[in-house]
Amino acid sequence: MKKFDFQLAGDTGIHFYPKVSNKSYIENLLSCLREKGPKGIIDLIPSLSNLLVVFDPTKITLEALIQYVDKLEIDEYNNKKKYPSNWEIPICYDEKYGLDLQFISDNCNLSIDEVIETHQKQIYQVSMMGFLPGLPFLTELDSKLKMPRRNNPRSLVASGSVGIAINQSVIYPQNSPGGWNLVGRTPINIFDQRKKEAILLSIGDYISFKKIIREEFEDIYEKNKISPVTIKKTNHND
Amino acid sequence: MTDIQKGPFLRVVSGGQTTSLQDRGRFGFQDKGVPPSGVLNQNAMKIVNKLVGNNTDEAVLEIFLSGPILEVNAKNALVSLIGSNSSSIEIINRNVKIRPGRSIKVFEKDIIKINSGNKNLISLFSISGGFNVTKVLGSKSTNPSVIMGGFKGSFLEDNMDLPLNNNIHKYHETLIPKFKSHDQVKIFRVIIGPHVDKFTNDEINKFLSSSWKVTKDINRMGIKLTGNKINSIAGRDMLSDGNQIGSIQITLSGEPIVLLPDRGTIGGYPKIATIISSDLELIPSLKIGQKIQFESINIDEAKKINIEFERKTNKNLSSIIKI
Repeated sequence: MKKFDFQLAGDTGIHFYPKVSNKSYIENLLSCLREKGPKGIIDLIPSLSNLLVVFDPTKITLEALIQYVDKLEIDEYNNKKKYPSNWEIPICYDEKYGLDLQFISDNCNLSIDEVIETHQKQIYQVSMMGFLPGLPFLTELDSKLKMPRRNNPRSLVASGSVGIAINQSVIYPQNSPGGWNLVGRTPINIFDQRKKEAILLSIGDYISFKKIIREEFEDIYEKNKISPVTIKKTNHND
Repeated sequence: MTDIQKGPFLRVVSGGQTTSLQDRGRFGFQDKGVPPSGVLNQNAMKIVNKLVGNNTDEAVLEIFLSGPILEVNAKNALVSLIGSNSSSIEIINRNVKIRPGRSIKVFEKDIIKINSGNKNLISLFSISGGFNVTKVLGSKSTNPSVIMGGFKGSFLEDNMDLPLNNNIHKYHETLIPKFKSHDQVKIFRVIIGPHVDKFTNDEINKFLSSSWKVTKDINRMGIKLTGNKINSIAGRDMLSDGNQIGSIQITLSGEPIVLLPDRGTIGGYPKIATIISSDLELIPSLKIGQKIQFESINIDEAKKINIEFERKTNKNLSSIIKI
């Protein structure tokens, strides 16, 4: 039985929708097409409801692409084959950077220390990327910190700021307007155009936060200005 | 790094409205939130590059609305423009003006003015050797909304220097003998969808039978149209999904926006139809305030139209001759 429905996005794009509501079907289709997909695929854009495949019709026909997807054994292609990375990202929860700590503390009935501890001890997974180049949507935020986005978005949030809203946390990859509640800031760049691999994270990666004090933040921040400070990654399945 | 060994460059005397460096675009990173950018009109990019002897995928200046004035700081180079019939390159100090669809030699301290003409939204300008810019994620394309690529991620600004590749000039001036820019396009062909389930048949018919005015709300992310209000059953809580170039999203106020190269990678508005790839290449001929219509075709018809479009481009490319 076919596992995906589709809708056309013009003559060079097709959205594949899983027939059963199963997010891992989209992730698995993404991995399959990225790792061993046919020639002619230009871009893959996953979202919570479907996978948009952008293709070059001079290299692969629409019919061939649909046939290819129909024949894939998505079930057997399990997530363990993806080799996600673990990243330990330094974060400073000083009130200079955690501009909304007090607000979150009041809203969630926790002390500021409890807010910090609750955010810091969680291991997150990159579930989606977008809005800005390299911006990760991190799940799953502890439900004790669940709260909406700010009523009045800031016109400027500093690059590296870490925010929370609903059941997710995000890291701002560059200076940008933004409406997330800020808990802290990392001194490293998760998007750095000086590097060939400009974007640090990928969908499926695991993130933990390492708490640093203000002096450490400033030290790393200054070093990073001169040349990109790299952080260690480990393979999640090792 | 010092500037002592500075190579050839163009100095921006006046930046124009929104001129940016663009190549084919940045592909393979949309799953990480990176918009593809790039020129809208890939075939015109091939032609304007071939006219100055470049590889057909070299980065070019895309002139959006009004064009820049540039000072040549290179021994010599060939330059060329593809735009409407009323567009031109003017070499002010020598009182020379040339039409689009041909190349011309320029020399040290020449002042070039690029006139985009009164009809085209977008024109493309090439220079022999191309621009000496580091690629970001595989492309020289600029995306100013996320400060990425091109000249420090920005549109051309006054007094900026645009570094050129060293180019020992070995090319002849060339032209396309029967150059004809696209006529003003009034009908764009679309494939209905992807979000067919978010619109009733009546609304889709209304979309196809209405006439749409091009508003001045227009940039490299999208073109806003105004006309009849289109109703969708999507509501505010539709799940965001991938944004394809040329897809036409319907905002909450019922107005269509045609998505262009610098669009966000994902979006939460329902998309009623998508312009076919060869008709996207005609968007540069649009004019603010003009009216357009959409015609629904199927995928097989789109394929035939694309083959014909490609054939015409190749005919143009192979008709380029030395002067």
